[in-house]
This record gives sequence, structure tokens and C-alpha cells, in this order.
Amino acid sequence: MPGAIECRGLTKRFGRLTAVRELDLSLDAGTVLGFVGPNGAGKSTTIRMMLGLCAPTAGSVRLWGADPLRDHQVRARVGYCPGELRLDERLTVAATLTSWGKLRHSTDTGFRDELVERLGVEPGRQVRGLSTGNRRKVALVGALMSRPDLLVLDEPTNGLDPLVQEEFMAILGEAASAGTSVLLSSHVLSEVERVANEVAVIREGAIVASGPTSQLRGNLPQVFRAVFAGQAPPAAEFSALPGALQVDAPSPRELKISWSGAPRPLLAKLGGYDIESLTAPEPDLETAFLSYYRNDEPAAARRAES
Amino acid sequence: MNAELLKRGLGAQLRSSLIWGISMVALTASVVALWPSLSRSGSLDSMVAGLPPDLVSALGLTDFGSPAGFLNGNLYAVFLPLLFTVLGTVQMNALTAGDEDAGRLELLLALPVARPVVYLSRYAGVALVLGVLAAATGATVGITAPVFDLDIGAAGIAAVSLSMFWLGLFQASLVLALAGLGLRAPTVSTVAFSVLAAAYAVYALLPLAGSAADLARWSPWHWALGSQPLTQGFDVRGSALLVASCALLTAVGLLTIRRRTIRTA
Repeated sequence: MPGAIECRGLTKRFGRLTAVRELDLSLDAGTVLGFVGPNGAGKSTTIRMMLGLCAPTAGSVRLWGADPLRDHQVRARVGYCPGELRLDERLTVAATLTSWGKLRHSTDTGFRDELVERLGVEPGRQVRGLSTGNRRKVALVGALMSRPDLLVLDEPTNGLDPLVQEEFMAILGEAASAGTSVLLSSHVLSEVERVANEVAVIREGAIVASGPTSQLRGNLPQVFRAVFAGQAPPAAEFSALPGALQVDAPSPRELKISWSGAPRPLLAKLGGYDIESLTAPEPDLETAFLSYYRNDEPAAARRAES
Repeated sequence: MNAELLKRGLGAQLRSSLIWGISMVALTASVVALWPSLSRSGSLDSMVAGLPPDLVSALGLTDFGSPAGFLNGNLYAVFLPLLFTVLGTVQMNALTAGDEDAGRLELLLALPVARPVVYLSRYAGVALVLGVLAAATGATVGITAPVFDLDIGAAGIAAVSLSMFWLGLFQASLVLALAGLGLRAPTVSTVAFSVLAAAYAVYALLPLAGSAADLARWSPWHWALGSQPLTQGFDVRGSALLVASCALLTAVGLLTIRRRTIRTA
């Protein structure tokens, strides 16, 4: 059975600019995929191709096996909240939601009213007078209210206050638990880390890393910080160990060892000293993300190679 | 076509259409109301007497002292066609290229609706507004003419009102085609108004040069007004050409919007 989203060699060029480059991405049913990357990395262009709003220059994108550009009906299974939100200013919030519901033919009005209540949307207000955050709440209700099989959310918490963000994350968690596939594009990595079970990192239009969130973190070097009871041993003793990437001495009694792979040799070596404390915090997604972006391999060179 | 999209298209035009409609009806009624005083004064024929015959014809002032000539010269030769064509251009542009430029089309097209259906529903909304305004201006002439002793036949009023509608719809169809091709709203306006100016020039001004008179037959203005519908009634050939050109332009718009990239704001 085809996955919710299948992108193969997806490429989009705008003149001489390559916005998305041979991108391969899959999203299976019930998966929450965090789609992370900075501004201009190609996230929104990729999402727009997934929704049939943007025609690929090469490659393909399929939603459950259907081409979203040719088969508009497949979008009935998708709830979408765009990053750049432009609502019809002439309508009220209620009229906006009603109109979307009519065009979807599948709105669960009870659930819509529940979402309106939980996110604090004011149905009687004119869209023209809404703040950015309140407009986003309307768009989120619109995306969720038909209980779609796939949610495509581009920076969904932009402009939301912390309480509403919290409520939205709870709603998202409930949708995921009910089997909804989610593609969550966000700058807020803690948010992605909280709900996503898979992550794809996009850099200059190409996926540079993808996989389960825990695996992405696990691939990273771990940083051990050892505080010795007396003077710290020479850093060279540790940098000679296989697995040691970098050894620094931030203070006379302290060593900071960046380590790759199983830590047994390091722990054995440290066991020979009188250690006051040893810490090794688990790398978070932000560290993982930054590691892919601090890789100084020149983008232009990589592009030329491809 | 989709009823919800048609409703939204009409709602988007409501305010401006009311203003346009009231202005057109007021213009029409005020022109008819001037007839008794101007006809009694006998000054109408003398007003154009000094002008060259070709220029009189180009400005629609032929037989200006007659009821039909008076209505043609003051309404149906230039002013109302211009208002209908500008209305068709502006409204259609706002609902297609304008909405796309503003980023409003994106959220709508992410819903399970086919792009040609969105365009067609909006086109129908503009056509409906043009139809209602053509009927309203026609009805205004029909109702006020007897009151002000302006003797004009109902068939002629209906025929020329239909011509106004088709001229407006021709421009709307042209805009639909240009927007479908992906042009931005300011470019669509520039091209559509250039075509409008060229079409009027070819119809009304080039014949003054004599040798270029045959070119007038290629102008939608000629198809709509060349047969003098106010006095001669409905023109099958002209109407057929307008219907065919509107259908062709609309088809271009509906086909080209299907697969292209939708612009972001």
C-alpha cells in the first residue's frame, strides 16, 4: 500500500535557482515527520509540491499513490496550514470555516466546534480584524476539522501564545494517536522533538539527514565532561583513544571529551583516575540540527558535483 | 462550476458591483432625462454639424438629433461600453491574478477543488454581474424613455444591452486567459487595457484613415456595435463571433491554470 507521501527525485527550479534538489522523502501512515531546516532551505516549496500548488521541474510526488497536481480529490484527505497565511479578509471566521467545510464535503461539525473552543477561536469576528495568531488558529481549525488522514503543517505555531501552543500540541498528539500522518515543518525544534517520531533535515533543497528522531540524536558525538578530584590528566592521554574526536580542558580540574561510538574504552580509562563527577547529556535535536548546518562543506561545491 | 465558489466570487464583488451598478444606472437615467430639453432646443444636430462625417461616425454621433442617435452618442457608442469593459477587466483580474498575487488562491487550491472549477465559478460570477448590470441599464432606458418622450424600441434596447454584456465579458475572458497563463495582476491589467484601447482604436479611429477600414472587422467593438443594434436589433454574426472568442479565451484560461505553479504572496 502506498505511503501517505512519497517524493522521488523531487526537484524544483525557479530560473537558475534550484529550490529543491532530487529530494526523496516518505511518510508512512500514522507517522509524525518533523521537517526541519532554516528559512530558504526549500521546506515550503516541497510542501507546496506535495499539495499540488507547485509543479515539480523533475521527479514526482505522490499522496497515497496519486499525483496531487492532477488529482484534486486526493486533497480531501489532507489538512493544510500554510506558513504564509492569507485568509479572505471579507469574511467572518464562521463564514470562512463554513465555506471550507462546504468545499471539503466532509467536515465533522461537532469536532470543528470543539476545536474552536479549545483553541479559543472567536467565530463571530471579521477576519480583517484578527491578529496573526488568531488567523493561524482559524487555519489550524480548518486543517483539522475534517479529521484528515494527513496533516501538512508549515510553521503551525507561528504567532500563537504559549497556552494555545500547548493546546495545539495536545490536539496534534491526539490526531497522531488516532493514526493521522503528520508532516510538521517547524523552526521550533523542541516542538518537533516532542511530537515527531521521525525527522528529515533539509539543507539547500536536499535532505541531508533523515530517520527516527532518536537515531538522529544517537548518530551525534557525545560530549563527556569529567571533573577530577585533583589536577586533570593531560588531554593527550585521552585524545589518543580510538573514538575520541576532540579533547579540551576548560579548567585545570576538568576535561571535555567529544566521543563517537561505544564509550567503554573511555570509561575504562577514566576509571583509573579519581573522578568527582562525570556528565554526558544526551544530545538534543537542536544539537543534531546544528551539526548538519555547521558542516562547512561548501554548498556550491556540492551543487557543482551533483 | 461550484455553488459555494460562485457565492464567494459574488460576495467578493458585491460592494464594488453595487457602486458600479448605481453609477451606470444613474448615468443612463440622467442621459435619458436630458432628452426633452435638448431635443426641444433643436441644438443637437447643430452640435455635430461642424464635424467631419467620418469623425461623427467614429464618435457614434450619427443622426444625433434622433432618439436612437442621441442614446448612441451619449451612452452606447463609447461611455457604457467603456464602463462594461473596464468593469469586466477589473473584476475578473481581482478574482484571478489579484487573488493569486495576494496569496489567497493558495489556501483555496489546497482544498479538494479543481483549479478550472475555481476559475469557471469566478468567471460565472463576473458574467452574472455584467448580465445584471446590462439588464439594469437596459431596464433604466426602457422605463425612463417613455417618461421623457424618448421614442425607442424595446428590441433595440435589449439588443444593445446584450452587446454591452458581451463586450464586458470579452474583456473578462481575456483577463481569465492572461491570469491562467500566470501573469501578475498589474501585467494582466496593462495587457487587457492595451487590447481594449487597440480594439476601440481599430473599430472607431482607424476607419478615419480610410485604407485601414477593413481592420475594424477584427475588433470585438465592431462585432458588438458595428451593426447598430439599437436600431437594427440583434446581430447573429456579431454575437456568434463574441461568443466564440469568449469561449476560446476562457478555454485558454481554464487549460493553462490546471498544471502550473501557483504564485505565493
